Amino acid sequence: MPDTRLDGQLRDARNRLLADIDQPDMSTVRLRAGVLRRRRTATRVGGLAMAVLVAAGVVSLRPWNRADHPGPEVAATPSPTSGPVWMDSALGLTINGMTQSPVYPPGEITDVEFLDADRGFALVADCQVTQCQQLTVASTADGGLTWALYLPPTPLPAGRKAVPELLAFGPDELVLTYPEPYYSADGGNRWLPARPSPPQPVALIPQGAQLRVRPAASGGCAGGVVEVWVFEYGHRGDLAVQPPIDPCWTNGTPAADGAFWVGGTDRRTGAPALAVTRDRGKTWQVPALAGSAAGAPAGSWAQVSTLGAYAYAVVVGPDGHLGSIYRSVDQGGRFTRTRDGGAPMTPPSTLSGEVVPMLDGRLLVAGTDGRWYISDDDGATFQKSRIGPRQEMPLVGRLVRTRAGYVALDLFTAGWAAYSSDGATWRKLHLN
Amino acid sequence: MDALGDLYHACYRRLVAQLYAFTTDVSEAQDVVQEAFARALARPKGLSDVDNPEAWLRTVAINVVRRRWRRRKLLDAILLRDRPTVQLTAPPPEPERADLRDALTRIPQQYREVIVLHYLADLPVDEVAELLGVPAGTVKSRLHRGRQALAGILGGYGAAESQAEEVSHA
Repeated sequence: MPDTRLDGQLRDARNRLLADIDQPDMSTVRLRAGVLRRRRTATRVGGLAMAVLVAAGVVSLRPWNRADHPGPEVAATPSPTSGPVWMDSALGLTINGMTQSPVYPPGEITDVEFLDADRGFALVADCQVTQCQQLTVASTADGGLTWALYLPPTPLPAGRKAVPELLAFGPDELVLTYPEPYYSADGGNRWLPARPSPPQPVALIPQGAQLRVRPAASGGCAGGVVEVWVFEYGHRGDLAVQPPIDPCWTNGTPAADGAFWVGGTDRRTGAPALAVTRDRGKTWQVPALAGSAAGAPAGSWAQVSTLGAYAYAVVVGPDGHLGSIYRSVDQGGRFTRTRDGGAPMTPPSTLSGEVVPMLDGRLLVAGTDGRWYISDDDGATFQKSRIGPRQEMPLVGRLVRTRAGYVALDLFTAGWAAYSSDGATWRKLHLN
Repeated sequence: MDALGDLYHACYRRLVAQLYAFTTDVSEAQDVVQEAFARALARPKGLSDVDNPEAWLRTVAINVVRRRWRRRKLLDAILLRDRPTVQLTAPPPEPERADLRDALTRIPQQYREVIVLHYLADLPVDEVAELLGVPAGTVKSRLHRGRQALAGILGGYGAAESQAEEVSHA
C-alpha cells in the first residue's frame, strides 16, 4: 500500500524546492565566465613565466608585485599539492596560500566580513580616479577557497569616489550602506532597497543590530553621532542615549561579552576616550584612560580590541599615529597603561587598522609602513617582522576585525587579503 | 537570445533541483549550476560542439560539487586548529518545511541522492541510474530503502511502504 502521506510530503518538498530556486539574471553568469577566462589567461601567463624563470635561473622572483605576477600560482613553489607559505618563524606568523587560481572580480577588496571560519563576504569595488564604476559582492562558504560573485544594483553617485560598507547580519543577511541602503536575504544573490523607515531615536539596540558612527562634517570626533543599523531597514535611527564622549569609532558588532564600544574624545578636554554599554545602549560607562593625551597629536582618539576578559585600548592619531596603549583584564572595567605615548617609544610609531589580541597573549599590529609588529609585553615594545622575496611575511595594508577573526588587507600592496581566527595563522583568500 | 541563454532559462531550475541531491543546500546548488553555465560560456565554442548540453552542464556541476567536497575535507584537516570555538550556523528551517528537508539530510547519501533526483527533480529511474552510474534495479532498491529511512525519521507512517516499482513518478 503506497505511503500517501510520505508521497504528499515529497510532492510538497518538490514544489517548495522549485519555489526556493532563485534564477539570477544571465549577466551574473556572464560575469563569472569573464572571471574564468581571466583566470585561465593568468594561469597560462603564470606557467609561461615559471618556465622562463626556470630556464633563465632567475631567483629574484617578487611575488608581492602584482604588475609582474598576476596570481599566487606564479609565485608558488612548483609543488602541485601545496600552496605557497609565507612565514616569520621568529614571530610565529604564517600565511598559507592556496594552489587553486583565485577569482578576479574587477577592482579592489574594500571590505571583508567573516561570520565564522567558513562563511564570509567581501566587497570588491572597481574605482577609477574620481568614481567607482562597479561593485561586486563575493560570498564564500568554505573559508575563502571558492567564491560566488554577485552584482548588487546599488547605484553609485557620479563624480564621487565613495565605496559603501558591507554589513553582515547573518549567514545570508547583508546590507550595503551607501548611497541608499540595499539588503540581501540570500547571501548577496538578490538585492532589494532597504525598507523605508522614518529615522527615530532607538532606545534599545535590537538583537543582531550593529552600530556605526556618522562622522561630523568637520571630520573630527566632535559632532559625531552613533547610528543603529539593522537588517532589511538599514539605518534604523540614531541611538537615543548617545555615549558621553564625542564618537568617531565603534566596534560595530558586540564583543564576546555583549559590550558595544565607542571610541573618540572627551567632550570637555578633547583627550582620547572610550565609552562602553553593556545594556544595549541604555547606559554608558567611560573607563579612565590616564594620560591618554600624552604625546597624542591633535585629533587623536581611542579605540579598543577585546579577547575574552582582556581589552586593549589604543590611542590613534591622524596619519595613523600610535600613542599610548592600555590593557584591562576585567573586560574594560579598569585600564592600565602599558605604553606611554609621551615617552620615547620603540617602533611602530603608526598603526594601520586595529590591534589584534592573539590567543597566546601577544599583540599583533600593522604599521603604516606595511610591517607586521608583535608585542609580548602588552604593547610596551614590539618586534618587527621580516619581509622579503623568499616566502617571508609580505607587506600588509591594514588589519581589521570581523565578526569572527581578523582580516589582513592589501597584502603585498597588491590587494590580496587573508583571514585568521587567531592572529597567528592566516590563510589567503582566493579573491584577487 | 543566444543558445546558451535559451538553455539557461530552460534548464536552470531543473538542474538546481538535481544538484540539490548532492549538496542538500539550495544556495550551493544554485552556485554550482551557475558555475557550470559560466564554464560553458568561457569555452571558446560554448556548447556548440556538445551533443547533450544539459547533460554536460549537469556533469560539470556535479564535478564541481565533488571537488569542493574533497577540498573542504582537506581544508578541515589542515585548518582544524583555526576553527573558532563557536561556529555560526544557518537559522533552522521554517517549521512547515523542516521535517522532510531535515530528514533528507539525515538519511544515507546514496538514498538521499536517488530520492531527491527521482521525487524532487523529476528524473525517471533509468536517468537516475545513468546519472549515478548504477543499474536501474539498484536505484529502485535505494528508493525503497530511502523511503523506509525517511518514514522512520518522520514517524507516523507505520509499516506502510511503497515499492519503487509502484512509483508512478517514473
